[in-house]
Amino acid sequence: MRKIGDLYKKYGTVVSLMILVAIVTILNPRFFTMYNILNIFKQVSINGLIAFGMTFVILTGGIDLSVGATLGLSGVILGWMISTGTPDYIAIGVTLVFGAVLGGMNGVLVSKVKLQPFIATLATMTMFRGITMIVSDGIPFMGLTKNAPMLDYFSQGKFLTVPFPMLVFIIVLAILFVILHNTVFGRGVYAVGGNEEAARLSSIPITKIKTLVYTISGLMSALAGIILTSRLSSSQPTAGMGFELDAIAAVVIGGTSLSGGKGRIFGTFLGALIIGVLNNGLNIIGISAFYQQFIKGLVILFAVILDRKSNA
Amino acid sequence: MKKITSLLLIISLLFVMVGCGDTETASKKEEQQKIALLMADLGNPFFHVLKDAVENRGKELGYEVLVYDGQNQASKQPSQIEDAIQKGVNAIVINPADESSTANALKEAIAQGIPVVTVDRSVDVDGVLSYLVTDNLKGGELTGKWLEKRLPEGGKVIHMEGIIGTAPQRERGGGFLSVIDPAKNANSKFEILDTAVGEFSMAPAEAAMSDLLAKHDDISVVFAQNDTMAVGVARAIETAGRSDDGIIVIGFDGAKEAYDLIDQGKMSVTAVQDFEFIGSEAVNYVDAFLKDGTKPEPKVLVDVFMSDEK
Repeated sequence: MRKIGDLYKKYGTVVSLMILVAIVTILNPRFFTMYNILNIFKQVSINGLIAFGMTFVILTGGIDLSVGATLGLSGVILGWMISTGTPDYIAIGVTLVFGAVLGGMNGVLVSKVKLQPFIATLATMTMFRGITMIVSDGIPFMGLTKNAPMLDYFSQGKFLTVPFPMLVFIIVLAILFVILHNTVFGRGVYAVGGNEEAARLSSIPITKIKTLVYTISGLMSALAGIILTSRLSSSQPTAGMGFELDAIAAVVIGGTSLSGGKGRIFGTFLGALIIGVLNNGLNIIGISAFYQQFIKGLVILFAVILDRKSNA
Repeated sequence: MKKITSLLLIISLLFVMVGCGDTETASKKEEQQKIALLMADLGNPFFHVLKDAVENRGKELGYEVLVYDGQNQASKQPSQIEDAIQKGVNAIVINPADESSTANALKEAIAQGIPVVTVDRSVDVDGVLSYLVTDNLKGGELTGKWLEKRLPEGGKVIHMEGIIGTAPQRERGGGFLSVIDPAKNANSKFEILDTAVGEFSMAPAEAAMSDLLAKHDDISVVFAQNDTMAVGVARAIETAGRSDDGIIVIGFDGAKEAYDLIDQGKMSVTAVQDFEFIGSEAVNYVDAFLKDGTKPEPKVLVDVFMSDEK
């Protein structure tokens, strides 16, 4: 029994994903075409990037509810800059810095002001939504990719045959993987989430680590915001509503424990793919929207129960 | 350190309060009559047409219009109504976020003799002066008939629905399907390929359309139940490199973005809600009632027109 548990822990998410892909492919072979697989990766990259940042935060035992609002605000700031004539490469750079600063604010509230992460990011989520409405006056910026070749590249661009958003997604995964598993900072993230008191005693810079994980989360949300803005060629003030839930779901399905200290970023990658395959697959099979939500909830529940079993 | 922070907080709070006080006194102009306009969600650009219509007509007739934004949260509107009553408004024009949340607050307003006109959605309360709404069912039918004329030989249709269970979703979809769906109209030469849910917003509609483009090679028509979704659908077709498929994209609302896309040939048509008419008519009703007690019809259905017809 123990062995099966260990095996699941190692390969469970991969197996779940493969089973899911097999089922959908049997029900409609059009699912498993290169065209559709690239389509899925393009869609998954948005939730996936947010979920990567969320993984860092959750590993420290925190949570970031403001990711969707950060995405919305970054998108609107980007849209505002582009539509007022800022060159797109500058606008994109500023947006990334801006997202990191928003995340850093969360980090300071959690690490220095010592607010509960849930409360702190709930408050900033509401504030960011408010600023989004103020900046945009509730009106979306449209036609943004028309004179912005670099922004356009974020949705339309291809490197060899790989769509650019997918490439960004994979490269960011590789970078964050190395940071999390091969650096002092990464070990610190696990230490803080595993046992904060022990981490303090072994003089790990807890404040710095906590501030940094929220900064990463903000940066990832802004990057996702840039990709979504490029995809729609417009920035919608309501963009990103509820995205925090999909991101948390991806992290949890990927086997990261909500109590912190345990989990892997590659698991989150697979978790995001599972959600993406579900969303796309249910559309491709042609399952009515009423059932779609139910099935998604069921899969999340199933993943979490399996994870608990294998951890027991 | 703590003391300084709290001091700063108090000072900033004081500033905010002083700021509020200023606007209060400024708004107490000489006896100018006031209309409160409560919008459900100014996040939807299309509703700005309605807001502007009420403001402009109000100005023409000499009213001050106080605008409230419910930010798409039904729970915000009741306290906004109370606030408006406090400010002594003479009439309320409300675009309610749902049919029940504001019922009690509006009952209070009606009890105080303040005329209430609801637009785009009704509220379940007695004594409302009038309720102006787009005839969505007829609009859906009109859209279906437009499509019949455009493709007499029929075609394969994707139906992009809004938020399930809302009146516009049921009525626009119902009206459209009553003409196009072979299950409901035996004479229809069309086939409903797939139905997807875009929740009346752009990103979900774009994502669902990307999936359906991967699934089908033979889509001839997409009917989106509002323009925001239609814009998302058009974008998905464009980014999938399927612009040459000649897919007819139909929207609903008459939003500026839709007209832009129609000009660029990326959308075909939109069923236009006459919000300019609805907004100014609401102010006319209020004005007539305040002047000599004239009561309009309790429910007024306003026709839509296809964007290529006017």
